[in-house]
Amino acid sequence: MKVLNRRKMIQVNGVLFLLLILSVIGCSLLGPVPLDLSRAFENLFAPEPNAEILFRTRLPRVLLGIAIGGGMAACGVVLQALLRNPLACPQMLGVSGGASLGGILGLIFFPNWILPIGGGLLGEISWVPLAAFLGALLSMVLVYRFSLFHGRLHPYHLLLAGVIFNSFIAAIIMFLNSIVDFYQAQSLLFWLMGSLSTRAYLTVAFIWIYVLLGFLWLWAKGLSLNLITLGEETAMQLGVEIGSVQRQIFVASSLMIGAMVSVSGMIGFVGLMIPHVMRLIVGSDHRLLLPASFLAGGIFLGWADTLARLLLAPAEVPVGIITAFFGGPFFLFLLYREGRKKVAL
Amino acid sequence: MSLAIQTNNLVFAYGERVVLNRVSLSVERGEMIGIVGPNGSGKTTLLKILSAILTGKGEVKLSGRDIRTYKRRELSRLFAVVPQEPQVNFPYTVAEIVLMGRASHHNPLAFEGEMDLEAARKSMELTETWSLADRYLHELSGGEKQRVMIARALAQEPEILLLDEPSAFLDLKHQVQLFDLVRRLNRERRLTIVATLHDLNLAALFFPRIIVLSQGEIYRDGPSKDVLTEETIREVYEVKVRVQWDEAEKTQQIFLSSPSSS
Amino acid sequence: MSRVLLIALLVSWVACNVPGQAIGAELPRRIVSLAPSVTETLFALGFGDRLAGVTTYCDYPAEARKLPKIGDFMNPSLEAVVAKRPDLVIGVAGVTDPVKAREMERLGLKVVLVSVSNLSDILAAIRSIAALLGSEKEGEKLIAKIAAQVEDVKRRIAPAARRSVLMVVGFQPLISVGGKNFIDELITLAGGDNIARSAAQPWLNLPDEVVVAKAPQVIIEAGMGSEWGKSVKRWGDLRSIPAVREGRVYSYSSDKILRPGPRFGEALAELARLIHPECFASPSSRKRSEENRCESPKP
Repeated sequence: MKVLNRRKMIQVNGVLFLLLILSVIGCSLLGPVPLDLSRAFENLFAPEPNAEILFRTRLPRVLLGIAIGGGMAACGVVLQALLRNPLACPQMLGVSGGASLGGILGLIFFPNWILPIGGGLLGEISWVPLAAFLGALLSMVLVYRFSLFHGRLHPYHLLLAGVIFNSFIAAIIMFLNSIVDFYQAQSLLFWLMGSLSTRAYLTVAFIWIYVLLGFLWLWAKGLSLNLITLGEETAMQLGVEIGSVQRQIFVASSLMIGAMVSVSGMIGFVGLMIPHVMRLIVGSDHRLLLPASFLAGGIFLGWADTLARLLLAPAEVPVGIITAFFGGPFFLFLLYREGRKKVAL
Repeated sequence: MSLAIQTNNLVFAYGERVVLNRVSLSVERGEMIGIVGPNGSGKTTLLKILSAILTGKGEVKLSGRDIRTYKRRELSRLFAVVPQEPQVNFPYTVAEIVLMGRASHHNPLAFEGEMDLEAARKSMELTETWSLADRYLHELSGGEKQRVMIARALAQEPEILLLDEPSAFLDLKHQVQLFDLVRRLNRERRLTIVATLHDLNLAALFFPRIIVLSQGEIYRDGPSKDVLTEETIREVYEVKVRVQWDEAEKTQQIFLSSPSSS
Repeated sequence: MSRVLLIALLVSWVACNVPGQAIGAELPRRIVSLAPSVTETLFALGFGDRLAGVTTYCDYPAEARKLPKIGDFMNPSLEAVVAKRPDLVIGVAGVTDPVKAREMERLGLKVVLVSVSNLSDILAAIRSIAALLGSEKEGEKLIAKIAAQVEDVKRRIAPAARRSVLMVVGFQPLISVGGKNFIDELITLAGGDNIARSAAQPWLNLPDEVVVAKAPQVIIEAGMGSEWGKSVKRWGDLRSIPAVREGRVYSYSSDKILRPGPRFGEALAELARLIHPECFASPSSRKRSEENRCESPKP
């Protein structure tokens, strides 16, 4: 009888963690411009190009990519369980649509407002990600209200509400796109396709804390997630307080997605692909699937961003395009497999 | 000794439509009860209320306590449900499924311990699914899947076993095997068994006490030979049958007649 | 259904009212402009009063804002254009929807698309538009005026060494201009070297590491409403960039330069002023400032 135990957890996650560290190093060393490593380390705090390239431009975005890739993958796992649909992804909740709209409104109406933190001592946050996060919160509340019946979130309603909400938001965004001036439209477009471009360690730290806390909260629900995938009634009969767990998962993942999208724009397909790939490798037990997907998601997005920087140098391809480039064919492959097998994988 | 299950004037309605009307019944520990009735009589709804999926008006007590005072984890250690047909969209192995029955026994943040693995193994052996432990559920036949569901229910180490038309999708051989196993569990382990059935002959064969539901009310409740009579079946099922005593099995059996024969 | 009816009505109206397509028979009296640069050119040539319709983006000169609108330049409204009964419709090749342009022609309108993708094209466009209006002289005058502006700039910056320039047109993420962009041409004429010139696309998303590696000596932010103080702060952590170290980070209100129209001479002058400020210093400030000679900055 093969079951999940501590040894397997440590083995799998250990290997993935190692790969993650190697990826951070690799992605920081690769890029469209050549890097002189020794000079970078010699001049850690001096205004020297190599040091600035490595520590001020590459490292922050690699670290951000790891966090967002991991967060998206983890949310994908729990949403597939919550909606009992192996083809669910974070974008379906409607939260990312709300975040995009908030961010775009911020970009149009106050792109240069800056909010100093700690009286300016701790750095600044632009209004755009804040507006995006507000948009995320608002849409989370709306979708929640439309799906909550008798204290339970019905997966069917949740899915519908999220999809309809997204379509509505997309229409508004297209309308805005048609009335803004040409150069705002360019900004809008790049923002919608995702970018991990950042130099603010403050932002990176903030996202890391957020994503990690959210992930830990969700990981603690791992056993409940297993039971939920068996069906709502079965889960209840096996001891899950289904209403409470559903609400917690929804809120935790919505907050995570909202925060991530507000910083980096829409990066899709990570939340769809990584859970599937990891399910094939480590099985469906969410207690292992969650951390494994988290780590794998980080590795994937780190390299996707590196490819985004390298592909059309000196220009940067929006990272959402890279993930879609992998994700589209992958999705088709999944559908093909589903048709051949009895059970949706 | 408190009653295993007790309901008092249970009423349940979907909006305007009343599904269960003043259902009062008592089940003692170790009893084996079959609930029969035509489609729409409220069998499944009753089972869902007993398993705390639905909440009706009126009193429902398990082991002497109001069902609403229980937490779900407690409930899942008290009773287990074997569903009609398992619908699992995700690839789990048999062992993983059975172990999920232990979820309410161990700390949710920890892995399954020795006791849990042992309980799972024993219930799989009992249901002859041990050899299937590492196979994927979706690869199994209907009968094998049903046995896995029973294994999971047994792994919960419940006092009460609720079965919802468990033989609905099984072939003849597996139907008989299933109820035989259930009866053994009742006799050897004093498990209280409550099952809804559509097959009256199987009910008569295996269940000492039968409750007949008709249009949301209890029509008859008692020993099977008193309850499954020609009049009852004609009233409730609106079909003419002949009931004859089978000496070999010490139970009556129902013979159908075709309406056009004289 | 209603579209077919509309077209049927229009065709019959046109057939009855427009006396043929004799070219050169009469100079256009009612003109619809499908782009801000065209609007500006028409006003600059003195024919602003003949404009019957402009796009929602046409905001210069001020009179243009009061003119009736026919949609935006990416998406002009076919019906609105036709309703203005223009003798001439002028659009921009590569920007105006060619399908709509063909539709307008089919409805009997005279449609001309000019190219403004580089500076010589812009001058050629002015010439063509002037010719269409039978006003070649005005055209040449305008071209001469612009040429004079360009020459003035060239003369002033001649002694100075070129400076590498990062032109920013958008933030979050950073958007710059590539080689096939008339802004790139302006930068070159203004004595600068666009650091993103090697990029094939006209607009591109530029990662920060490329900016650091190319080490521009001047950073110009042509976004909307960006403020001087915040601009420097935005780059404050990348002090290896010469522009940041030496404080040559400028914000510039984008209107003029981001339009391939007749004001590009002025735009050029302003850009040159930002890239080589010492070449434009007035005599009085020359006494005050350190760099009072227009030559290459000290290393």
